[in-house]
Amino acid sequence: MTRRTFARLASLLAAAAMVAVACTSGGNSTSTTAGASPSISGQTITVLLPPWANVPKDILQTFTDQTGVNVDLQVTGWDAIRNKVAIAGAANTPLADVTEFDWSWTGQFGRAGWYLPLQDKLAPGVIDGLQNNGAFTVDDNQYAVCYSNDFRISANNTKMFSDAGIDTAPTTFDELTADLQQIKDAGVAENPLTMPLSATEGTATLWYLLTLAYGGQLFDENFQPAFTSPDSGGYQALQFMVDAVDKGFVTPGAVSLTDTQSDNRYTSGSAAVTLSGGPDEMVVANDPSQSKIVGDGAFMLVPGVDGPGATFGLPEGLGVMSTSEHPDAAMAFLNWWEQQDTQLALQKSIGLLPCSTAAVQTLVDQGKLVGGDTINQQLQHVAPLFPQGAPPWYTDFSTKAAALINAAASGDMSVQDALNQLASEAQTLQSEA
Amino acid sequence: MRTSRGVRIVRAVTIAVLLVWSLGPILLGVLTSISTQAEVQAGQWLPTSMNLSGYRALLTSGGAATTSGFVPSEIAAFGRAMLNSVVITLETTAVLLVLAVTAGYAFSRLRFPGRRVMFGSLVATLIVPALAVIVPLWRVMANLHLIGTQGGLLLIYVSANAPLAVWLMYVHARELPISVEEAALSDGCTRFQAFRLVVLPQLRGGIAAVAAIMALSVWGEFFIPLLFAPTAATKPVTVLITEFVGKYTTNQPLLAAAGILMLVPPALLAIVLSRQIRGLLSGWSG
Amino acid sequence: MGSPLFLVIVALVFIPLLLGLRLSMQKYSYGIPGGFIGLQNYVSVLRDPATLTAAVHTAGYMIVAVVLELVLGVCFALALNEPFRGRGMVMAALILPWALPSVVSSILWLRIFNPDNGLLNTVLLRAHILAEPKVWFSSRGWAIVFIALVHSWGVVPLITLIIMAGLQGIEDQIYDAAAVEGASAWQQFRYLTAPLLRPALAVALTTGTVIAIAIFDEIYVLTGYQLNTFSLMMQAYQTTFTKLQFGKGAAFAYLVTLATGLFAIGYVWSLRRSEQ
Repeated sequence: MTRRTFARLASLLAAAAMVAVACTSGGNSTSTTAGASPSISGQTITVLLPPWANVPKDILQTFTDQTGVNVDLQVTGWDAIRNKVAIAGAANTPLADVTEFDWSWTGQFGRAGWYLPLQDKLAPGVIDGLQNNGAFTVDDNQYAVCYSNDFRISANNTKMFSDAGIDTAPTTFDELTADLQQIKDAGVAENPLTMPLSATEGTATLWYLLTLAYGGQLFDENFQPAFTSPDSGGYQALQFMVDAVDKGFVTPGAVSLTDTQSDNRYTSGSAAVTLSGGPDEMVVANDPSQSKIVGDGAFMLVPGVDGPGATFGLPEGLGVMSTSEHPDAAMAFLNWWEQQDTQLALQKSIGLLPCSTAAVQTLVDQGKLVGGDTINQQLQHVAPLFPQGAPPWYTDFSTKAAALINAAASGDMSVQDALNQLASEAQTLQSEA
Repeated sequence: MRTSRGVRIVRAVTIAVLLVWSLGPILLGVLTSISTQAEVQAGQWLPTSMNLSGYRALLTSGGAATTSGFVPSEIAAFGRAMLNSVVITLETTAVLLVLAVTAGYAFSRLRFPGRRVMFGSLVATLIVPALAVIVPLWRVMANLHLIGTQGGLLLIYVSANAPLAVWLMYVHARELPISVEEAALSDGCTRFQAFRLVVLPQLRGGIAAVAAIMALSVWGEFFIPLLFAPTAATKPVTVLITEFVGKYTTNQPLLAAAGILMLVPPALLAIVLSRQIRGLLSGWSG
Repeated sequence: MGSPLFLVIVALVFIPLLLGLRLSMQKYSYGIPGGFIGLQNYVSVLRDPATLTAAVHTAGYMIVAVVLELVLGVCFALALNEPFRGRGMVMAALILPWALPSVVSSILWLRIFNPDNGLLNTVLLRAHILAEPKVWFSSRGWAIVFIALVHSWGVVPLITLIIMAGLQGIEDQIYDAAAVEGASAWQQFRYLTAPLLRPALAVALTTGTVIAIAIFDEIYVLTGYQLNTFSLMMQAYQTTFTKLQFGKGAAFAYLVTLATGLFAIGYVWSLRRSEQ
């Protein structure tokens, strides 16, 4: 047998071995002992979180001290987490024990069975003390518990307003339009409003916000589109966005802005109003290294039709993957995270807004939340974007919505056409689901 | 003088174009990296004063402002990520060079059955996009427990870049005149000795070029290490840099500073390798 | 000596390729596996009108990018092939665009193309070529050209190096003979260098095309999901990760592979023919 033939045979044999290995589905040997708490001390769990949830080591240490479980925290970009979960889910192999779980994933990842239902597995009282449970629930299973209480709130520049002769923030869309015109006419700002209108996620989020603020909904109970008729919230919202371009309230370049870029127009002092900011807005606005409007920014309630409008929550949660090899330790991690002192410590060090109602109240009472009063007020107007639970095609729908809104704002199609097309796409998606 | 004045002017102009083309946006990056976030947002090109906080933070592992958009522990990981990138690039390039030179030479000189099929199927994998194989590849790697290991990453890089490396070395080796080797062989050298003493020196320029290509390809890899090198011990700087985004803001000067810093090792490598790439005046050696 | 390499390639490339083929013939609905459906995924991709639009856009990127890359790549490689003082530094400058990840460079280029205060608009407005800021990426034609420009900015170093590798194999002696006969530099290039560069050109063309067809980051950072710029790879990506239709996504990717393969074969074949 020549050397070459031998080498090739060896290759083939190895290849066959590889095939055998590769074709065994990614097995996980979870030995869940039923019922009462099995010993988890000494185990190590892998936790996958985005950069803004990078828990400092000393805080993680308190978990290890409490339970004896070590944490291997892997930080990954937010988009990448989603992709990794999808790939590992498709390949049915373990990825991590605990991962970030965004509210928009509930319909897809929950239904695909990639995460464990939490409702009876966590320590008693944990879930009840939290907000946003509905966003993580589908088919009566809750797949994650909230860890970052994100929602949309507006903000304005009080100095620019007063320079134009306005002393109170608008609470209705009519007032807002009048105020913007006044600021423009007074020469205080050429383009007093800032909005993301590029074909990216932030644009769709803005439209959802304005739809709710106009008192509308995206879909009815049967997931039929509710935004095509001119008196619907969604239609009025898109019309407002397109009008803002036509009236020169936003710059012509708004159609290429993402949400972070749009927000930067506000913090750099070019715009007087931003509608879809986050609860962190004032922290950034008052930081001299990032903002040129230190001291001039203030939260503003999202405007509505007859008074303040509704906003919606975009919470992020922690979920336990079905392929996890240490589910009990993972649950313990969730329990630990949702403890009051952990939540307050995390808010202090990395700025995450807690999801537990009690913790938020504590922060407001102690005056630790910048703009806390307005935040508290806004929290009373938070409505879920999908009262029926997010559908599995939500991400797909968002992508299409962003693209069509961008087309309408660019003048490539009319508001009615864009919404009609979006509606028919949504109906197709719903019928395929 | 062999080169006429006209040619030299054309060459000088071309080099000038090259410098403007390559360095223009990089210069913009440098300016961005020493501006403040507020200046960048306002579209100000020249910063009023140099803001070195980004560089300082990255080079001293932290200690910068802790506001949203600035993630201190990510900054601290920068040094390790650069090290990871350098190590994996050097390892992979070394392995690839050995394999590509021997394989390229073998394919061009030796005759063995199945030669064309092997070569063709190897090079053909060049056209496969990562997306096509990512799910099965993940499963294979997971079953072999290679995820998050440097060895696993090395294997994937080698298999992903080998087609181009082998193809290039094959093309290069094929152009060498056989006469010198045959002389050596008839002088009593074994094929291996002929290879080592005669062929390799002649391949030097091509090897340097291929080394540069491979090193840069590996240095710039993103999608593969994103999935297969998620731990701090293996994550390269290309992946880390995409984590410098806050939830609501992206710290532009910091991102630009990180981008500029990660250009330093490849630039150094290019300078080193360029000495090996012969020019028309150096002639054949050996 | 080649067999360890072959072994690794078999394990990490060929096997996933085969497994991926099987995956491409399965139905997935939002991540939930269905059954084996043969070639239905492929048919569904080909029938979708969006695929055609994506293909048109992708062809645009490919043509602009590959032409630009080859022209600049050959010019730069020829200029760099002769040693001169400072050549090392120039080569370092050359490779910088390739060394920068495409996501980061796209963000940098945004500062140039930003309609409100980007460099391009600022310069054109000051020079009175534009009357008001133009939103370049709103127009399909401009968007494709600029995205291809940003893309090729990052790829030119690679193409240049490939051509340089090819130039390395050309002996000096042939130029001496030609110079003795009084051939001009241009004639030397046209009749000596260019034909001998053909194999390297095949490599360069194939590589450039493969990378151009796979464009993703530049499009996403510069234009998001805009309806007038999305490429084939973006479609494939969305099918896989947004819709979680892994089978259809794999089928899409294989179709793209097939198309790229046809181009590659075309290049190699036509360049080989002109060799004879």
